Amino acid sequence: MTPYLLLAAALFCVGVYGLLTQRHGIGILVSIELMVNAANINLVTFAHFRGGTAGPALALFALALTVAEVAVGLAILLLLYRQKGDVQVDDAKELRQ
Amino acid sequence: MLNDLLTVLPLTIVALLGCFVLLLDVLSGQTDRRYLGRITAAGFALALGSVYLLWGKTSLQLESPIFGGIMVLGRFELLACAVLLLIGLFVTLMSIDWAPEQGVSIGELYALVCFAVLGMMLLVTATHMISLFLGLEVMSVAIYVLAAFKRNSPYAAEAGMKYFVLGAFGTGLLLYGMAYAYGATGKLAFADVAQALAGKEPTGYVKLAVLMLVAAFGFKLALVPFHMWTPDVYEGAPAPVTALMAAGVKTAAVIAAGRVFVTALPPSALGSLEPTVFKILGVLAVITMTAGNLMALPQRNLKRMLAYSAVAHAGYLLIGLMAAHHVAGQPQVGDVMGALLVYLFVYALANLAAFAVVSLLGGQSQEDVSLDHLSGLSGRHPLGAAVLALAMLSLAGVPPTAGFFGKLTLFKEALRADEGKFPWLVVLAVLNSVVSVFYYLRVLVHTYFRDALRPVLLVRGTALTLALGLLAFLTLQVGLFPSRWFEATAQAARPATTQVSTSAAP
Amino acid sequence: MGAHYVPYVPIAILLLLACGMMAAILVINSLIGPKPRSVLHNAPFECGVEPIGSARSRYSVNFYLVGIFFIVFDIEAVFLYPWAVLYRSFLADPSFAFAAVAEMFVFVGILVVGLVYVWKRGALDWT
Repeated sequence: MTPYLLLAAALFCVGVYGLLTQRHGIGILVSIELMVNAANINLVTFAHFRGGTAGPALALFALALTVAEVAVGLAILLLLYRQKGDVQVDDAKELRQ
Repeated sequence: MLNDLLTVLPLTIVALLGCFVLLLDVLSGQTDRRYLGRITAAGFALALGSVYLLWGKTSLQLESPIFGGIMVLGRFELLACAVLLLIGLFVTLMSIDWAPEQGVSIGELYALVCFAVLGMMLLVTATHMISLFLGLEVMSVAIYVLAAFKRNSPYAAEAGMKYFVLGAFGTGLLLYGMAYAYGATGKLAFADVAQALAGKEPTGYVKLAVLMLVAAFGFKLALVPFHMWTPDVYEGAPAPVTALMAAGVKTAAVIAAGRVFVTALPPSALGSLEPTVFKILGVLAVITMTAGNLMALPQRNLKRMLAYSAVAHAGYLLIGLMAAHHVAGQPQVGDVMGALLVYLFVYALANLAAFAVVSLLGGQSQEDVSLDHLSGLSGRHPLGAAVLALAMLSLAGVPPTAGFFGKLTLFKEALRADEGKFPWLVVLAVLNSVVSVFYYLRVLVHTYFRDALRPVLLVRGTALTLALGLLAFLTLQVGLFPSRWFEATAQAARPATTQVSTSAAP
Repeated sequence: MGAHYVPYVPIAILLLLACGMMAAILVINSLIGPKPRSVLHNAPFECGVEPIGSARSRYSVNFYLVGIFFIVFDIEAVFLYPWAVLYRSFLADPSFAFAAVAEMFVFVGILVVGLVYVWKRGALDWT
């Protein structure tokens, strides 16, 4: 079981690192997907080795809901792009005083 | 099955309302969309009526888990749903006159408010990780869109993006935490998780799960190391949406966090981890309320000030959550959850009132309402000025208003939960409240004792006036007859939080 | 290396083969292929016509919109599978049979509401 959990942990860390350092909008979306899918791997792993169906059920919901979330994120990114002609999140700093 | 379907009637009404308004908008082709707002407001009122009906129904087994143990809609949850529906109603009312001034297509606004409120209601009724996650996502996704709703404003797009990134980060943490809770127990229903963990030494999985869940709720509640998004998002998002965030998201997230830390991870399940968790939460509470208040002091922008005030209030609420966690499993937990809900209700009323006044000032599609805009408001719009004054006094916790009573109940219940552990927290919270009076009163000074510096175009309309009047009435009502409200809530909360749900869910 | 990894051996072989093939084609090509050296040969070539505009032109935003809609509706189909797998066992319980059918209709109905909204809002128009 450990290799799978380590894989998930590595993916999760890559996701968190990407989210904290990426300045490109698409990179942020990819990082979010990595974090969520790391959790999904964990859920499926635990269910596979210990039995039970609740974990995969949650993973299924997580999959579908994250897609909706990222679709909305992409739409907001498009909006930002139309206003600024760029998807570098660094440029979005009108609100800092 | 029929029992279950009848019990979730308020949620069904809101879901259907959202779909109906969405379709009506695209199919009718009418350009003036105020009527959509009126329909939505009527729908929320209908859902409130259904809550009232369910409350009196003894034939329904209200307190028992429904749909195989994924949710429960007892009296306490009905009250929480009623608070959320009221928030939805007020947000709709303040949008009706505000939205046409903004120059954006506004048909989806009301549908999204419905879906956000639906998600919040799912969140407060969830007793299973899946329904918790579902509710959180339905709420969050709707609010990401709402935050970026004013498509012609660069501020709104930026606010939407920031809220989305931090919200998605919180979601990722939550899911990872849930996965490890599942790994430790093999269960996802809250009561089963607690049962599986009870009396065992916490493993590394449990520690990781608790850490992740605390951080995830930290993001949603805007606790201090996780609060960075709050001021920017509050400032950039349109005023009615900010009201929905400040009042609705906070209410739903606090009740859901309370449910998780009372029924899934009570002290009995945490074992030797409990003192550490208590310390972490205590430190979070102290830095949250202190930093929130200190950062609110220099703010001249009303929305940013309210954002930092929201952070500070999250700190007070965390003390209540710690108290609820501390007495989990005892009958007393009902009183603490009741106090939390009353506090949330009072806080929601004050925030709705404040943001209703902000949307009153929000003509000419301006989003930065500074203290200068408020100068001389008492002369031009006496009702707005009075409601703003009431809201500020209530947020500061000055005696005749509802806010004082909310704070009093919450701190009293926290002290009652454990005499040994909580006094220093409560003392710090009271000191913080005293500091906060300064910046709340500054708003009052500007409203009543300064002459107008510049002309501000006010949004006027019957719906907004109605919302302002109702909010003033409710704030005074809770402030003048507080014990009635608290008794009802605490009584409703008692069975809900002591039950051991038998779950048939996978 | 335990017996645990045995099933992955064919995959490893395939991976090596794929990489080797790619490297081989590149190396052989550079070794024995003809190497013309002139400005014309290095210019971009579009069916015998001078290229028009930059190769890095932007896609229409409609592609993104349709892409987003496709992903969302596509992934929702994932909920049909567990339902379909368990469908017969639902039918075995007569008190639950109607609900089992009805709930999928409700689910698809909500998707239809979304589709009607997207359609009527004009997001599927290409012009």
